[in-house]
Amino acid sequence: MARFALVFAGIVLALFAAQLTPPAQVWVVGPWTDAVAHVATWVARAFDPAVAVVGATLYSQANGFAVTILSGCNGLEAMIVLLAAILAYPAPWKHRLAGLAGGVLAVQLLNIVRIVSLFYIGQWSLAVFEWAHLYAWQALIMLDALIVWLLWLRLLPRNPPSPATA
Amino acid sequence: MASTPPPEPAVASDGLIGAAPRDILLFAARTLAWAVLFFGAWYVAAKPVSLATSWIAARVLEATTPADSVRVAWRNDKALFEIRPDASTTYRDRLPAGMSVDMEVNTLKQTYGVPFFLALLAAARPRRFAVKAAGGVAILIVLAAIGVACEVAIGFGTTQVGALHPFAPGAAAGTLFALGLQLGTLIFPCVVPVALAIGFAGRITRSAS
Repeated sequence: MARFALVFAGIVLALFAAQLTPPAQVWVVGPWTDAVAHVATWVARAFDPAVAVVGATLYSQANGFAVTILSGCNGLEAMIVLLAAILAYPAPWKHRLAGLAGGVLAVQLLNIVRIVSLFYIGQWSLAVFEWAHLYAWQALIMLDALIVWLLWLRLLPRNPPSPATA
Repeated sequence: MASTPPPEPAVASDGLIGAAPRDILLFAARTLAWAVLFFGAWYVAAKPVSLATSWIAARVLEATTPADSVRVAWRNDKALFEIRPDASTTYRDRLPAGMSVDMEVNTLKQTYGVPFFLALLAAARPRRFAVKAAGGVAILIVLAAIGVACEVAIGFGTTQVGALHPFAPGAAAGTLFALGLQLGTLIFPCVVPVALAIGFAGRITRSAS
């Protein structure tokens, strides 16, 4: 347990600091955030053709309301936490990669729901938008990551074949 | 067609770890239900929670910045920090005697980990809930206070009096304050509650016996 906690904290801090560096912001965080914005726009357009996107900003062509996705709202932090939890736990790499793939999907799917919901909550009430944006959705995304990790732990086989004997 | 039993879990069920998928999903549902209650209570109690957090943040600021004293009050639904530079700063920068810098901070950004933790803990149904809840809340309040102190320190550092900066942290200190602000708003309120809940939790579903 102590080893897990140390490795987990080490990976989280290292990746969190790394994603704050200018190169990571330019080459990873920025493009990722833009991609999240475009996917969210694509989803919103399924029922609202007035939604458009420029870079990481979604806006309504009907009333001009706009939201810009920034660091902290692109799901990267939750993905870092989930990645650290999966890597810190002793498991075969095949299962780790499967957990990461499923985890990224689960976190980003909910993150898209978060962005689309906030886009419409903001048009309804800025006070509720702030509350949902700063507090409620932050906790929900992390709960999502926790559930994925717990399910992944449960699905690990008890005696996985050793890589040396495979 | 022969059926094969599902693989055994890698870890024996011990609280949240190794619980059955159905129990994990029920745990998530209970967390959401409790979150409605605890987030509501936290919002209603914003003033005392913020003032307690800010009082600790003020002590951190007095220890880490050239502040003679830091007072905390409540204004516009935010914590108001009144920072009085120490004598050497006042003398060096020829600041007006008795001058103070006021700064408002929305400490809810740092303290929402408290209701999140309580919802997780209540959903996990541990034994000795009150003790674990109190311990976890104390840890989260201290961490939130560090985040608040870093936010105030950054604001204090960018404050100008005429052409002077009463408090201009060096590169290392400035980076630490910036990191503390990031951790205080993005990691401490999100990740620490989860870690505490996993550490404190008893079984997801309490035994019927």
